Amino acid sequence: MMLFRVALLLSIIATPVSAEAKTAVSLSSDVFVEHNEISADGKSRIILSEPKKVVPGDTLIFVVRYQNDSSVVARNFIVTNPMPAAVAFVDDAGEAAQVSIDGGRNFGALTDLQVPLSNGRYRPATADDVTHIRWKVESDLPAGKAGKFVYRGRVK
Amino acid sequence: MTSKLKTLVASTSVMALLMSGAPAMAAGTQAGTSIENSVSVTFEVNGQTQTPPPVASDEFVVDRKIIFDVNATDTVSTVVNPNTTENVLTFTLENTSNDTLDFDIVIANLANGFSTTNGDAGVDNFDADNIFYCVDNNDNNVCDPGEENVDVNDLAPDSDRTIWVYGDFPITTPNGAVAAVSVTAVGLTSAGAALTDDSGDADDATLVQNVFADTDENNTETADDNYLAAAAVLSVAKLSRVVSDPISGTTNPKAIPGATIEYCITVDNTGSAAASNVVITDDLDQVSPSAEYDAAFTPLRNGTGVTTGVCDTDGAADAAAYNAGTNDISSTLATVPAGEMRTLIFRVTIQ
Repeated sequence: MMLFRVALLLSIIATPVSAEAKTAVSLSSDVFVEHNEISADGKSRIILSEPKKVVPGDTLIFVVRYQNDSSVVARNFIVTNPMPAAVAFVDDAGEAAQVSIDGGRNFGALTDLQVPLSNGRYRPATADDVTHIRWKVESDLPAGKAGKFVYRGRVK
Repeated sequence: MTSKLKTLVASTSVMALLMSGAPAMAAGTQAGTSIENSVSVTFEVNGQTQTPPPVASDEFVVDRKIIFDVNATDTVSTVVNPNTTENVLTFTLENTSNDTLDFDIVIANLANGFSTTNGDAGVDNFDADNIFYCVDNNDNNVCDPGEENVDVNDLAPDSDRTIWVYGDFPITTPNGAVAAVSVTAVGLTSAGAALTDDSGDADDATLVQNVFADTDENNTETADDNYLAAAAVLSVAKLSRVVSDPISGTTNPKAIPGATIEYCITVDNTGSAAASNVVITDDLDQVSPSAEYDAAFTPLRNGTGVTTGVCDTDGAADAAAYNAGTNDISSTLATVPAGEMRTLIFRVTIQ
């Protein structure tokens, strides 16, 4: 990962400032840990905290934010999010989301995907099979427009 | 973790970043595995596809979830006999943590009054002698030299290890004695160092911290098992009856000189273990008034009971029971089973 970060930094420096820079869309990804906290009155509350102490079985909330920082409209806006290897997809990531169970080659609704079996048959895909999540924004993304996608995962 | 937005430029091709990680296990992702969420975006501006490089979340590591258990491998008492050594109780330590750990092992005789986990024993009332334990660190199902009283070494996630406890029982061990032993395991790092509970420490996303997830969240698990002593408890009695006298024959015979007396020595085992090689000796010189062995009657050995005060005659002939040289009766009962009686019958004539 350190190597990748260095490469990212270099790419920013190496890119000449041009009209292209105005067409940028910014993107960020945050992760939170979901904890079930029992308060003094016995009620259960769900607490989101930063992922400092994370152990297998913990539920993580991934938040992907985007914003069109440019002065022009962006179209066919697609965000692709590979599942981290140590994280299992938990539940639906919203109506705009499609998932892949084959490493990002094909996307669709989880209920529409099938996993081929060794005997030539298929079984319905489950959340554990998900390798990628993709969000497609059908409408145009005007200048200055921002939004976010959220999905939930579980530490394997 | 910050949520700062990063401005990206369309210069680098999108690549699917897949994190390398440990294979999925029941214990979960290996401690220390980093998790980073990488996202990429494509969009069109004025019909031109833009593919800025992926952007990643801050990286954090999976912490060490300490969870393990110790159990006896059976749920029944281990029956032991008095005057035996190195009787074995078997325990299993299972590591379901997401990291390889060592474990410190402590064994102890439990105090009198401890209610044993096994339903067949009741409460502890005895201690085994010279208890020690052995850890099957090389998994060969044998307690090898060097495996006695040592730590459990390098127990991988989702694996278990056998721990044997050994105890001696002296000849004085009473029948029914219950001796419970506990095995306590405390998690250590794979290097054998103590594990600290980091739950109260300052958080650190990049440091592998310890989270105690075992019962009571104290990094300590204990199990118990017990021995149950089975001892033979023998009681010996000597019955006699007049068989005949020279005047009345066998009709209401009296113990007058010349009368034939039948002796029956009973050995009753009220314990819970069989007694073997029980030697019965009776010196006829001690019988008063002086009696003479009745060679006309062949002694009967291993009769099994007494009916209305008279020994049953279901024993087998034991012609060698009488030793004329020493004038004594000597016979060996090979086995007196728990809860049963064995008898030896012989006759004498009153002088």
